[in-house]
Amino acid sequence: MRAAKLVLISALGLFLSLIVTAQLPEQGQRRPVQQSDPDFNGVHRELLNPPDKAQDASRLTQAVASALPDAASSGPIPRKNFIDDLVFARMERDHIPHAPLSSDEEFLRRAYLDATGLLPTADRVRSFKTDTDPNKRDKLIDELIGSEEFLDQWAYHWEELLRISSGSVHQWTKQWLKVDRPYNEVFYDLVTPTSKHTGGFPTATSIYDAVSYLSTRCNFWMDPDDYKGLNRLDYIDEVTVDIGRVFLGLSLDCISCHNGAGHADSFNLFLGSKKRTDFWGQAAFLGNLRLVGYTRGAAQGWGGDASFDDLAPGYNTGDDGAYYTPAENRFPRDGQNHEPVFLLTGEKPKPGETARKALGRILPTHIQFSRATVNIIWGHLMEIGFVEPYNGFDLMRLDPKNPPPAPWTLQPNNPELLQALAEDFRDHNFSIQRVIKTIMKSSAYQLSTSFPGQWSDSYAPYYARKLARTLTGPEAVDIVSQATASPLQLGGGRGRGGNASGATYVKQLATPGGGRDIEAFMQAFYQSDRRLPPANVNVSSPVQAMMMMKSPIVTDRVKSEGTTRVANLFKAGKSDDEIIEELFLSSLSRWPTASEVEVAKRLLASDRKTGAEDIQWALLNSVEFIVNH
Amino acid sequence: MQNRIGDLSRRELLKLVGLSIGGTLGGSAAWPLKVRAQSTKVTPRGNVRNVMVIQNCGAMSPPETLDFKETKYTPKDLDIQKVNSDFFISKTLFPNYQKWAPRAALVRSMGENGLVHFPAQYHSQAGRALNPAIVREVPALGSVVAYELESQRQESDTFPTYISLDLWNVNCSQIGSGMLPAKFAGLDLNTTTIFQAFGGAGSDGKDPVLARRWDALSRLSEVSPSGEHPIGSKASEYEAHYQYAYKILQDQRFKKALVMSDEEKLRYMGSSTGRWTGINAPGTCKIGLSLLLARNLLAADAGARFLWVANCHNGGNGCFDNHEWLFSRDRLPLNNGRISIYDSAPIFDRAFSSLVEDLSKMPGHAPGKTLLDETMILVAHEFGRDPEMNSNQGRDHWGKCFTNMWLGGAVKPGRVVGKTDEKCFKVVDNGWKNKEQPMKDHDASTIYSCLGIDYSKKIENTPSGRAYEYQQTAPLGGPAFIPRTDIEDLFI
Repeated sequence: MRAAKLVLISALGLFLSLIVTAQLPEQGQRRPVQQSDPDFNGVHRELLNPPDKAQDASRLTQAVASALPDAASSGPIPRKNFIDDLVFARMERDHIPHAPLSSDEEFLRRAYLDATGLLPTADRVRSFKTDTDPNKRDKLIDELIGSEEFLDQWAYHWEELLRISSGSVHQWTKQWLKVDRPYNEVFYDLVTPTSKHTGGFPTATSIYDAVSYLSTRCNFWMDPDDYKGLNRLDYIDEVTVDIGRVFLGLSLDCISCHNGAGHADSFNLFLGSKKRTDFWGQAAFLGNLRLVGYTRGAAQGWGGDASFDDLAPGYNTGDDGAYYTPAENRFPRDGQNHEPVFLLTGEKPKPGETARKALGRILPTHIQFSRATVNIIWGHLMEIGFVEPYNGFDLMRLDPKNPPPAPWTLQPNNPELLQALAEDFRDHNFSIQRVIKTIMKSSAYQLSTSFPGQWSDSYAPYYARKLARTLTGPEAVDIVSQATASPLQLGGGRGRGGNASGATYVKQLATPGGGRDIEAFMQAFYQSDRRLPPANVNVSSPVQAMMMMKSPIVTDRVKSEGTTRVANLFKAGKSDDEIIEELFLSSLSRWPTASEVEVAKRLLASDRKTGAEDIQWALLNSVEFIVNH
Repeated sequence: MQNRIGDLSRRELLKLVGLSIGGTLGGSAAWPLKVRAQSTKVTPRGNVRNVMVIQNCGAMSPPETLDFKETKYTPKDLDIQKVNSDFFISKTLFPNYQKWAPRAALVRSMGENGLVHFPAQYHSQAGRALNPAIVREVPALGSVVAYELESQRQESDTFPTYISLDLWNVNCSQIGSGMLPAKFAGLDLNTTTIFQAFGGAGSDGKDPVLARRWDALSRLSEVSPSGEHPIGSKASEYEAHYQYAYKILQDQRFKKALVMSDEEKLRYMGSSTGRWTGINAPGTCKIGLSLLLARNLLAADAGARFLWVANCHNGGNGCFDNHEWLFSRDRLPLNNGRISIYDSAPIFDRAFSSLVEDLSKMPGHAPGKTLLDETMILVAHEFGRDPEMNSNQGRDHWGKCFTNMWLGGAVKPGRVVGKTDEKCFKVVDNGWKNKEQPMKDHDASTIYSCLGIDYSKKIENTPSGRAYEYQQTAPLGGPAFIPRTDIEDLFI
């Protein structure tokens, strides 16, 4: 027995040491930046994003894998498309072992969660399992992508990214996803609006929201042309930074304040080569932008609708009268007028072309627009992007045929695949649905989370297994309600407009809300109010565990009274076996093993109703349930 | 998820799991942080055990409250009382002022550059101005405290070192631990749900239903289809979280902290007959409830030592954000986050005076000490308010001067640091040895110092490559230099 203790202590210590060792750079402890340092890239790998997503995903996956079912498939893995060609070729080149294909149950649950944020029903699990069509997985993907639930799930992703909380924009987002509108046209529409609902423009709910900014000037708008109430250029700078973040994968914050040299060049060659004047040239595409607020009697009311036009005098950082241009949270500008110049190519608007429309036209034509977009989508589905963080691209470290000078290395974990996926996206009319389908139909996506043999964190960037992720806040709430057949009563949340009445899933709302219990629950899963970009955190926490164990969101829904799944099973007179099977299929999307049935029957035998409640509760609190794997 | 590995006792298992928690609950810091002090001249005071920050969201108007000025706008019914030669206060707005005002010290020369709620609140919570370029790696003040005090935790400590109350409801909600390990992110308790969610104890403080379900979960986990033991040679991060969470939920001290008598509720929140008072008052969170819970968390002596209480009654920007109808109770719609100072101040006063009174009587950690002896309280505001009222009878934001209040611990009662002019327009005397005004960065350094933390420390190997100073001295976009110092005048 003492030996058992010693073994366990030793094993834990070994695991701890492995974790610590894996976290240490190869050459030892980190130290200040030295460009000649062989560990240079390891030190600067994480740009602006302390959590190492690959390591987080790897550790989470390894932690939960022991509690997950083994993959059923052990046969050869088909190369379904160019994604597989490039993923598996890389693993073969570097002798990286990989997981087998996922079982049907594993794939089904994962595909549903990724595509729709919901679970497959018990009947769907049954029908999918018995379906002998060799193409059933592809057909399932085609069925899910474009469904109403898909629209809710992916509209949520986009609104998190763009930090939008608006009912009208929510509906607009769902519509362009539904018809698979070319994404370049979506971008064009986003930067060329002539009206704005509350929260309807990128960064609209951000700290630099034109409307919120009124409070800084301690004035109320009496005159729509009196921009004393608005620091226009700071607002433009913030929108420009957001456009860079979302649509170019670039973090332009740095060069919005100062030249890249001496600052950004320690972690980003491209940004290090840029000047603040380059940023102003990019921002100048919005230089004529004028936001005309509405007046409510004698006082300006903020948070309301507004109009945009292009009658402002350009990106003039000198004295432009009422427009109040002195920088507030940035270093002072140079007092000069700046014309629009595209940051990546130097292209300018055509003669007579409205600057904002020129931006809408020019930006998507650059391949970086496509790279940034597919990188985000890939990161959603594969847990880590080719480039992390998604807004940390270094444009001078992407091309294998033109590698950066040593000791810099190529940035993407698979530069060939990033480029291929981006080109495929561009060449197929910027179709978002196509990208998602292509990824999900690949064998790379369909690998199992289970991994035979010894796993190493270094395998994670190869996508050698399907990496697990924690659920988003809405996903966690929605699948609890779904698994327990207890719909949410939504419509009373504190969201900033546009919440649909009659919604039964949080992701149907324009703003993740639904009342204090739901919001408190989602906060444990890192759901924010969109004032900052999404946290993109893939780390579990004790707060999540506390919520899953004790929140009324869960405890009210496992009861054997009312119309919960447990209650309905009793009302229908189901046998113990039927109850157990239904609860497992509805919660975990798989059948219980013989051992699990045995344990569950013992729980039912002691007190049938209490036992069923406890089984339901235990399934919701299992690792399998609260992780997408 | 079970407590029967071999013949290991549950206690031993939790202890071992606790060891692995330290290493595996990371996630944020993927490397050993390189922390070193920059100055040999900083000697942390180490004169308190606990710190509580009460964040009066929205920014309470100084000319009516903590820096009273008689101006053309001053209502006639404020019933001004003298606390000391430098401190006059309205009894109408603060009926219980005598329970706390004589103990307080004031810093009236505070300055703030960011005049929007979000970045100003961020400044309070992070102890530095918002820099979007590195926002993801910057930890909350409480997270730094938790990181630094980690070595002082006892085996019996169940509560996280850093707990916040209702930060979820604030414009700038929980910042998190940034580049520090996720375990230091702090536990944000939602007072609108916590009692229902985490209450329900038996006479022994245990939740029998939870215990029964825990057993069911353990049994099912034992026979999980992988065939491997859920906690074996691979210490599971999720398993560890669940063990830790279960430990908290079944800790009698946690249960006890959630228990409040009717008398206590009445004292802290008032009767149910007033418009904004009582447990049933409208508003998504209530400062009385929060401070009562904060008191209990400290009194439990279960590991919580840095509490952040957000006074954000009704959410939004905060109840003190009186851009409109500062003095009028009738003009504000019920669903507006802001309420008249005639309501918001007494609500705060009732809760705060009850807290101070209770802490002054409750035993502390050390024999012979009270909780107030061991706890320093900072009542923080994001900025000031415009000395000139606007056309809607309200005051807009003002950064030139505002007042923060300190109380408890080693704070000298009656200290007033700094002076403003006759209208609260500007600072006429910084009140300390530096030519710069004190800022929220100095709130941070003062807190660190009093908890025994060297605020001259910096973390060098940050992800961005920019060194992270515990007390920032050269922020980007802000003043050229922020003196590295705490607000020593509070203690001399």
